[in-house]
Order: sequence, then structure tokens, then C-alpha cells
Amino acid sequence: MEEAAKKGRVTPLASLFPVEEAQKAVRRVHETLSEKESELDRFRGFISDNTNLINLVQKLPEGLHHNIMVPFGKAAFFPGRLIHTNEFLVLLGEGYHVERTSKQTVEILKRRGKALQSQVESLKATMQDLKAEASFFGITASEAAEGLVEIREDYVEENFTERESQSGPPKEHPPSFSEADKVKVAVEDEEYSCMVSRLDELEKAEYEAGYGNETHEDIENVAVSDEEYARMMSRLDELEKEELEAEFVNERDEDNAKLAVNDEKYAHMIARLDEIEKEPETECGNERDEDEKIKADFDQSSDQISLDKINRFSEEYQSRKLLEQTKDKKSATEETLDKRDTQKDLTDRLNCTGLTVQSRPKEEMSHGKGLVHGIMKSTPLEKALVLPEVKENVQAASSLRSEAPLQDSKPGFDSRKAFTGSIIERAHNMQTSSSQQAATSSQSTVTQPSKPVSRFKMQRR
Amino acid sequence: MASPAALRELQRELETKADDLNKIQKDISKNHQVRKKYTIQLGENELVLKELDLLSEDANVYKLIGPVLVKQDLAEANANVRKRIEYMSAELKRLDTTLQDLEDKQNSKRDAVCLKGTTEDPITPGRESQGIVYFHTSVRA
Repeated sequence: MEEAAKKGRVTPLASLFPVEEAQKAVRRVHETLSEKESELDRFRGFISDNTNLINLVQKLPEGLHHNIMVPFGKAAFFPGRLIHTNEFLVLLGEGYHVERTSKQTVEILKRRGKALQSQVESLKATMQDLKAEASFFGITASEAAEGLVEIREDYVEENFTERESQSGPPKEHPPSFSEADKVKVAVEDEEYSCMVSRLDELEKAEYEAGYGNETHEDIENVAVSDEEYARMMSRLDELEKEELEAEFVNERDEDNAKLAVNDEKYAHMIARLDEIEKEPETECGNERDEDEKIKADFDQSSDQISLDKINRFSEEYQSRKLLEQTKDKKSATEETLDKRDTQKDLTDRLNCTGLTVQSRPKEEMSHGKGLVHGIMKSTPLEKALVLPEVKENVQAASSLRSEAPLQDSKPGFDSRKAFTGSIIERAHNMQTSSSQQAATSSQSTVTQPSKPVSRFKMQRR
Repeated sequence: MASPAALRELQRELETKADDLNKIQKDISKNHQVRKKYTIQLGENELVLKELDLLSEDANVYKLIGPVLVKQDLAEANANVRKRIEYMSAELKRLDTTLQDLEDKQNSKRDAVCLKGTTEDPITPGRESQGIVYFHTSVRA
């Protein structure tokens, strides 16, 4: 089997961390923890005394004198009067007292209270550390007692250096498990590299074809790249299928790790594709410059949103919910697209989709598309509404921008020439040449139920 | 094979060395306590200084000397507190150096004891191992 091919070392955890010592460590940490807790209680007592004192000091000057029972010795009182109700002798420390009024005394006491609070905070922080330590020791002790075994193996994979041998925290996975994952990863790596090279070619082609073209030429270029997109999307479909299979076989954590890896690749690819889309849109008239900018912003924001979504989805599997939500949003956008005076609604919807954890970049893309086309005939006012929206999204997903390495390569492309569509990837049907905005939205809703666990959809316009 | 007399000699040497080590450890712990006290007092004095700085010139400052509250001048009180702070920081520094010396001595003594322990005749492991065990526990404390 594959295990024989890989070198492996099996170390019982008990040898690394002897059981008794770990338990002793746990006990020691617990003792220190209890000490700290008692200190914390003392501090809390001080703080409460301080607050009581502040209240009293504030209340005393309310009367010129108060009738009180004065303590006399250890066990006696006599009735007396408290006069000079605004004069306090405050102990500063080291035997020094100072005469202060009620207000000044309160100030001194408040400063003391703050100092106490800061001490309490630091003590709490120390306690947190101790607790973490104790839990770690406890876990190690229990694991060592169970006879847990740490298995180390060398990972032999040229392309994928991230998936090194599983060292560090011990796991109970059989060795063959990791092999299967690694093999799968290797396969996907090759496809990924192919697609990356393909994308590079596409970029170059469109970039060259970009300058000085009219819109219909753009569409032509777009049509040309359609085929290539189709091919890439088929590739993506395959990868998704593989991952789906992997999902049901492997454990969740490993899935997430792998899928996160794949998602990153997908994210890169989507980013790439969007870049390519943007390229063909070169200068097409100054009147549209503003629109272009907005579109560029939108495309970028939608990219970022899509990247964001992809990464987030790799952490959660909410396929059904997403499907329903996307359906709702889709129908809504269809209406608004027709109306065009519902700019605000669109931005709201974009907001909504931005907030919900959906890895459906196509929605954002389609929203962006609808908004984009709305903008082309829109008033500056709508643009103003749109821009702050865009800025929000940009900020929200700005971190992902830096992750996508492919983005850096083309700083100067013009959004006008870019293909401002979103790319819907379908698992079972390939509908790459559709060019209506409304139609695509309906199509996407139709295809969603068939593929519940599709992590992202790229809608082609 | 060492003769029993020589063995006993070695044992005695080991014991004396262990006692020295203990003494040094006690000194270290005392040093720690005194240092703690000085540190607390230093902190208190710094607080007092801060409050005194916030006072206006005409505020009345009293010092509690025994059962007597004595009125003091603000400037005088400031000066006194500052001098105390200086004195205490100097004391702390001195204690630090003493502590460092004691620790070094302790380490060297410990090494000597270990060496002695290993060179002892393995036939009589009882006393030596006791001594070393004792030494280990005291070090931990």
C-alpha cells in the first residue's frame, strides 16, 4: 500500500510527556490559579469598599451636621454630632494625610479605584494564561494516559509544499488517509496550474485586443474568450465534483482545509477571469469615464465580495439556505433591473448579500451588472449612492485583494473594455453564451437546486 | 572499592555541602521577602508623591507619627517622600546584587554536590540518594 512507500515514525505520546508529570503540572497550575482567584476576590472587595466610600463622602456634605453614634473604645458608643461635614482628612499613604473637601476626596478615591481596576485587569490576564496552561496540561495528560500515538510521515509532493507531514499535535488518523488527500490535492494542483496558464494566455490576448475597440468589438473579443471560459468552467466543474466526492469520504476538518485550498485556487481563478473581463473595456468615450470608474469599482468590489464569499463558504456548508436566499435576491434584482430607479434598493440588496455568508459571487456579479447597466443611464445622484456602497464593500474585502496574487499584474486595464459580467459555473449544464441579464438570473436560480453544495457560481453574461 | 571509612568521609563532605546549599537558599528566600516589602513601599510612596503633586500650595498636610497627627509643610512633605523613594530604590538595587551573588554561589554549590554524589560508591546509594533527593526538593521550594 502507499504506507510502505512513505517513511513513518510512530511515537507513543506517553514517552514524550510522561503521564504523571503532566498530571503534576496540572495540579501545580491549578494551585496557582486558586491563589490568583483569592487575590482577585480581595481586589473586588477593595473596589466595592471604594465605591461605598465615594457614595458616603458625596452624601455627607448634604447637611451642616449629622447626629451620629460615635464609637468609643472597643465596645461602646455615645451619641454625638458630626460637624464640618465638608472637611476630610484623606490618607495618601506612608502616614501622610491631607485636608480635602468632599469633591476633592471623591477625585482622589476615583483615581484609586482606577488603579485598582488596572491591577484587577492584569490579574485576570495572568489567570487566563494559567487557565490555558492548565487545559493544555490536562489534555496532554489525558492523551498520554490513553496511549495516543503520534505518527509522522514525510510528504512527497513536488507542487504542493504546504501539505507537509502531519507533525505537531498528534492525531489518530491512519496513514493511508492522508495519502488519499495528498493524491487528490496533487491532481487538483495540476489542473489548477493548467488553468492558470490558460488564464495567462487569455489575459494577454484580451489585453492586446483591448485598445481602441468599440463595444461590438468588445463583444467579439468576449465571444472569443467565451469558448475559453467554457473550457475553464468545465474544468472547474470537474474539480468541484472531485471535491464533492471528497467531502463525503473525508472528515470535515480535512475537507475544509482542502476546500479552503481549492477555494483559494478558485478565488484566484475568479479574480483572474474578472480581470480578463475588465481588460477589453478600454477607453470608449469620456462621457462614460465616470461610469467606467463606478463599474470598475463594482467589478473590483464584486471580485472582492466573491473572493470573500468563497473563502467564507469553505468554512460553512449552508447550501440550502443559500439557495433559497439567492432565489429571493435574484427575483428581486430582476425587478429592480427593469425599473432602474430603484438604485437604492439594489445597493441595499448588495448590502444584504454582502452581509449574509453566501459564497455566491455570481449574485454580486449580477447585482453589479444590473447596477452597472443602471448606471450607464443613471444620474450622478445614483452614482453617489452607489459609490459609498462600493467603498464599504471594498473595505470589507480589501484583505482578500492582497491575497489574490494575480491581481497585481495588470494595474492599467480599463474597465470599459472588460467583460462586466459575472461568471456562473454550472455543474451539469454549460450555458456560457447567454447574454441577457434577467435571463441569467433566472437560470441561476433554476440550476441552484440541482447542485446544493456548489460553493460558488459564476454567471456568464 | 572504597573502604567504609573513606565512604563515611565522603558522606560527611556531601552533608556539609548540602547544608551550605540550604543556608544559601534560605538567604535567597529572605532576600526575596525584603525585596517584596521594599517594592510595595516604593509603589506606595510613588502614589503619595503623585497625589501631593496634585495638591494646591495652601493645602494642609499632616503626618501620622505614632498617635500624633503633625501638621507638615507641603514642600517638606514632597521632599521627604522623594528622599524615601530614592533610598528605597537604592536599597532594592543593593538587594538585587546580593541576590545575584547568592544565586551564583548556590549554582556552584549545587554542581559540586552533584559531582560529589556521582563519584560516591554506588554500593551505598541510600545516604547519597537521600541527600540528593533532599537537595532537589529544597531547590524546588
